[in-house]
Amino acid sequence: VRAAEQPTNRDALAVRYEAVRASASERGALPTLETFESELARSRAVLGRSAGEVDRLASSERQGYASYYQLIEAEARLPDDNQWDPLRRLADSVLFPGYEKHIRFLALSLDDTGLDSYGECSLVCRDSMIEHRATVFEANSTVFLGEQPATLSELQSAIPGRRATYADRATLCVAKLGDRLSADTATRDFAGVLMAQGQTSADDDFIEVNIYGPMTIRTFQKVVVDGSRARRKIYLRALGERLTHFGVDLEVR
Amino acid sequence: VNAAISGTKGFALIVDGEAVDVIDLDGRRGSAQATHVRRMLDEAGDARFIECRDLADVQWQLKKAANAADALQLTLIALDSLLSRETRHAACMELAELFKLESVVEYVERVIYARPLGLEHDLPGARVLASASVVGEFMNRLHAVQVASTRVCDAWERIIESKFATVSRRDTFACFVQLGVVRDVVKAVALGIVPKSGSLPGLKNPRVASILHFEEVVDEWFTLLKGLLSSENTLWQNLATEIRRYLSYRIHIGADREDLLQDIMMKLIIISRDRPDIINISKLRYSIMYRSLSDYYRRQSRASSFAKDAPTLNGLEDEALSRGVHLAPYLRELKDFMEKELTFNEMTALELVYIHELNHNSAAEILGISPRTLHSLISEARKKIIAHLGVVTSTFR
Repeated sequence: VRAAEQPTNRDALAVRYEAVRASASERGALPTLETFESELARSRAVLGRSAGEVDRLASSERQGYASYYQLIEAEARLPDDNQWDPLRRLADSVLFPGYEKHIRFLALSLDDTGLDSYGECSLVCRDSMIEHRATVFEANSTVFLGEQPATLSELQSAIPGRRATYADRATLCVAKLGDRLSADTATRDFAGVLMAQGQTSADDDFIEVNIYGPMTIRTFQKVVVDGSRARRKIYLRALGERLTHFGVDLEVR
Repeated sequence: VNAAISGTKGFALIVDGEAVDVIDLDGRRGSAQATHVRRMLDEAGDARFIECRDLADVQWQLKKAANAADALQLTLIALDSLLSRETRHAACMELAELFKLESVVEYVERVIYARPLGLEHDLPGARVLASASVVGEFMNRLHAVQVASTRVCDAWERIIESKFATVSRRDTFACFVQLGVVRDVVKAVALGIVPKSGSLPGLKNPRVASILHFEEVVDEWFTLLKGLLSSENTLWQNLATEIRRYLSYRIHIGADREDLLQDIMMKLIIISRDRPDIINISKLRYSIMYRSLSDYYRRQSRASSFAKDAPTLNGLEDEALSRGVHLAPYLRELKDFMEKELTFNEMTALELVYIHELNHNSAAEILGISPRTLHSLISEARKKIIAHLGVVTSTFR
């Protein structure tokens, strides 16, 4: 959060934001942009996870959602055996130097739906549990930094203006997505502008939410599931009852 | 056909040369996406790589794996103390259908026998909900192996680290669970036997042979188990009679009494690992016994009839007679009155102080109340009795 509040970052973001507003004004899309910005106030950090993982989290408030690095350290999973593991480590050490293993990655959503590539259930965060320890980033940080035509020493310069505190997320979203809006863009299309599911996780287009520190089922306010994917109705019933114990709602779509 | 199958995920990946296809439970086939591979490798705890005769065989194996995964999930729902009775009962009904297949029961046993149930599991409640059915029988068997399961896991954790040469302790255990080795050991230990490694079919599986020096691991595991069984038998011999007597005052159904005895002994066995002197700490023992009994009453939803199941005068009478005190006429006269008028806590307070001769502080701690409240309970009980008979004060002095 302190990194996002650095004047260099805030100033660079403000420049991008103003440029997008000016451009929208020129093409007559400023009212749409302003509606988009006000709608973003109700955007939420959403975690996509499998039903099995949600069941585990909902089984007890002592069950934590561990970061990638913590899982590897605990030998609960193996590192990805592809190009992603080294890229991810590089990107994370640039963005979160020294504390990368404490960061959890989520996506910003306007319709409480997470990214399909990460699981069929969407866990919607409770703002009060994260806003003081969360920032937002322009895109999937690993993909974004991987695409920079910069040397290692120049990577740092690609970051200013690309992230914001959670409270300031609307500004970053406008800076990134404002040019995609036209005067005809309907309010119902905003969710798709904010998050677009790709063929693979690398193709997903979204605003990344980075949360520092532990997360349990109490971090979430709601779980959204696709009812048609549940093999037995009783699974949803049981999940709903478990979640109720922790003050979390279940929404079946 | 080479396939990777996951019952929890409900799909199989079919490897055909360079191509990987995905087939689901409804038989729909398509090209596998990266997410399918990731879900199979990263998320599916039950993923198996098998060789099938043809596509129909893959489909059949997938269906079987899905039934097994569903049965395990339903078992956990049936055992979940957080869930409503209705949901747990519905899970038992669905489970009964799946348990018609012996292979499904075997799969669930392999997984669920491998660890003793935790505090979040309500096995007694599940036994009541599933009684008189194939699921009820399964729950009874599960109850019967809980102590054994604790012993088996305990012995496993005590194997020295250097025995695990190429495969870690956790992965070796996971392999033994999957092949049914742990279940077979637990079942044998429940009968008081430590099996011979040659008698376990799972250990003959080629997968086990790939674990370097697995024979040494198994030998040490079984040696530790023998040691545990021996020390626990001593604990059992020393305490079981006392606990059975304590329970006989309060529970009149023999089977329930034996179940509770098992539960209490299991807790004592676990505690005895850190406190080998548990035999000499009566306060701690009574505390555990009292709490287990309270849980039992709560589970039976019989809070309103606590007084009926509170210690009866039969037990007190036996106790008094065994000390040569001829109180029978008074006690018989008191019996009906006390069962009606004294609360469970009043009866227990009297018994802890006057029969088991604990001091007020210890008795209060067991009941989870202050010594002053204990004193009030005893005074109140005495007043009631005095008011009724007027002559028995000396009995309890």
